[in-house]
Amino acid sequence: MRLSLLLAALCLTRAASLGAQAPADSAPAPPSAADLAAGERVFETQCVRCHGAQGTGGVGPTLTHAKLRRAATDEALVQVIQNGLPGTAMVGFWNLSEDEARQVAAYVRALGRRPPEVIPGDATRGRVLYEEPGRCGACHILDGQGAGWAPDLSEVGLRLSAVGLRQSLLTPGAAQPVSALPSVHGPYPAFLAVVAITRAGRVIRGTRVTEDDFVIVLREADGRLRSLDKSALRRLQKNPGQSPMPSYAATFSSGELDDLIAYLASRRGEP
Amino acid sequence: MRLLAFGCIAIAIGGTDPLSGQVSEARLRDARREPANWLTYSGDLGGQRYSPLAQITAANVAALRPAWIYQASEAGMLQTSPVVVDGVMYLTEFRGHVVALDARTGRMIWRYQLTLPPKVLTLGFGPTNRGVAVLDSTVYVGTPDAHLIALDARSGALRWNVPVADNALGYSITAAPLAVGDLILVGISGAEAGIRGFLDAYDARTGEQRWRFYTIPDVGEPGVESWGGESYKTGGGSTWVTGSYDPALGLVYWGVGNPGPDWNGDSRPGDNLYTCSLVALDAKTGTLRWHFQFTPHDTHDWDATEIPVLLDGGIGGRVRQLVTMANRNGFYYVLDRATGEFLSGTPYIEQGWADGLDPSGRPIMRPNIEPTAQGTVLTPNLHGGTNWYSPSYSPRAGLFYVAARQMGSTYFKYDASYTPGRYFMGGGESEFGGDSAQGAVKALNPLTGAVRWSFPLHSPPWTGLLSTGGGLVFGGTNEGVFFALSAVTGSPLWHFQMGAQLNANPIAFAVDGRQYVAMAAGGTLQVFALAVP
Repeated sequence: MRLSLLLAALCLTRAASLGAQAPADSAPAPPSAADLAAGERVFETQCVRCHGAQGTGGVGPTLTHAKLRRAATDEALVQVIQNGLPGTAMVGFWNLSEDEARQVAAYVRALGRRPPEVIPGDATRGRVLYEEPGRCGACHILDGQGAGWAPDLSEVGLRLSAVGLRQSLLTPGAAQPVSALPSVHGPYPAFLAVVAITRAGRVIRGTRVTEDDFVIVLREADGRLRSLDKSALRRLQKNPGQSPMPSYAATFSSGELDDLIAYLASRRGEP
Repeated sequence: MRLLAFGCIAIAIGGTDPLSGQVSEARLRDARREPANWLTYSGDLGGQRYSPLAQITAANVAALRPAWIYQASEAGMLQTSPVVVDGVMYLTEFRGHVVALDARTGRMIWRYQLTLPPKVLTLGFGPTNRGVAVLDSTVYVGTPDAHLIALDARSGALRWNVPVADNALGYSITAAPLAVGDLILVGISGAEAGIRGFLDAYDARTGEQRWRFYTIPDVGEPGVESWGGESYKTGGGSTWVTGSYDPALGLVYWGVGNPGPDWNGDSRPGDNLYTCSLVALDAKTGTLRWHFQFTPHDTHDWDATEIPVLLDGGIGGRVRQLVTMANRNGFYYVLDRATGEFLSGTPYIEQGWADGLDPSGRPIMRPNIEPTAQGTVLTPNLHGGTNWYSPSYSPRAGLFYVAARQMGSTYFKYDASYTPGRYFMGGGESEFGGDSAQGAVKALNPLTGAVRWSFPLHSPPWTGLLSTGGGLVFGGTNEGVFFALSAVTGSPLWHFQMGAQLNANPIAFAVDGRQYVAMAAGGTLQVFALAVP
């Protein structure tokens, strides 16, 4: 048990201090150690599944930034926690009390004040690797350049830590990005590999673009969309854990991987 | 085994009343006699959500097309179940604004814009609204700030507006009221804020309160011993979904929600009556006749606020008057509605918290199901095996239909301290979403709960069901699809992409001999009929 958790346990009987002492019209008091400990406790139970331990990222973005793009102020961060972000997999955590939402927001802010991750590679050399013809840009868009089959990487440095980037490059099937669509019950893997066999016996392989009870839309390897009625299918095989992206474990040397990761980590939506 | 329809009389489309637009108590009791109208939240006082209309059938439903669409004036998902009276449809928008439409064309007749204070507490559910009640020539609606409002049905003019409870403490109204005799019954929301729940009855003419039944007993009343210390004062027990009424027995049946705090039961040792229970009340006085608790000492937010469905059937060699409920805890219950006697309870989903029920209907709970600081994995998740949206019972098919949710979760327990008007929940959950969760429309034997057929759904649904005399079951999905199944086999016969999540209940009605089916999706109400040749 980490000290902070122990602190949280010791604070169980203490009334939460943040919201209770800070009326909306006055400047809120800075978070106490107890608030941060309580916030960490909530974070570890409610947030790590998507945002990773200590906010280092997972299917959800990393939170270890001084500035959070969609939550510029503390108040905005509380709003995001309470109400979610429409169109994303971030749901509103209505079950948190206002104090708990403020405490977990304070903890997330504290994550952003930690020293930045040390990334050993050279971003300039990584960019050269990235831009090799037929390489990453054949599938990904970055700063408007490339092809849109795969996730836009213009802000990938905000979404994934260096650890997450490395995992994506080495074992992409285990590091699937998620999509909030097609339903409120996300997160769903954004690139689920599917094999559909029509009643006529035709085999269609692709990744799932969207699905409901009657329809599934697949994108084939050549980029073509296939909108299929499930009633016209003999078999629908879903293969979670597979990714259309190959592993680059054997493609790049260890040093090259560091360079590529350094370049991707620097992509934060600022040219 | 024998099934009897509860008040079922098969008649053709029609039902023009000489006093058009006047919804007498007698009309409400005999709602089945005029299937062109949909006179109450559930279509009848027994909560069956069954329409005898039979113009749209399994044979022709493939030709069902949009007839008209209403777009709400204010953004927000519609959870409304419209009421239709003699060609006029009354529905509620987000926040409880009320609209009257020409039911044939969708043209607006009037709209009542609620005046709400700048800050309204809707802790745990948002300012949603699920519909109106109509009695005589008055339309009744509950508001997010916990008022009950009466509007003139012809003009939308305000007749009266009474406060039901203090919104500053978290009391709010989302449920459609129910007209019972000359009373308007309305349930309350707010059990995530440590309210003390109740069911209220108001004089339909004047708005004067006639009775209140507290769902949490006070000191000196039976049941208070099922709470520890003063925990009953913040015990929750909301009544946030419309109940049912048996005029012959004079009993109102209403589901009661979770105890407070939701996920931390330490401060409230005991069964916590009458939370997670069905209560049967004398309709005239609000006196408790009997109760049945589905989930004693709940710590998973499994409100019993599902629709109590009244039906009659042969059990043990004699015809019984029954009330049944597909409960959020994952079991389907059959009770004697005159006495509250437990007759059977059967899981309709795969659940992980109980090894069945004992002969009295009390769950045999498994060990280690309580939420913990580290997290406890359990099925179903807090949204349950089903939720507020309605089931349907078809007397014609003899089947009970429920939109079931199959989803697990990790439940957490936190501290809980009560502050008036704040969340008071003591925990939360992290649900298992994505491809690991599913739903299904299940057809149950209404007397035993045995599953007759199951139509799988891509994700756990938020949409209620309607069964019809045309042999159909209508339902919907989170992915925006409205669909029709064969009531007998569950085969899909028709579907339509409505363009937004469905989170409401379907209804059916008829105007000028043409049958319509209505369903809300996103901020729209969409109405379907067979293509006119």
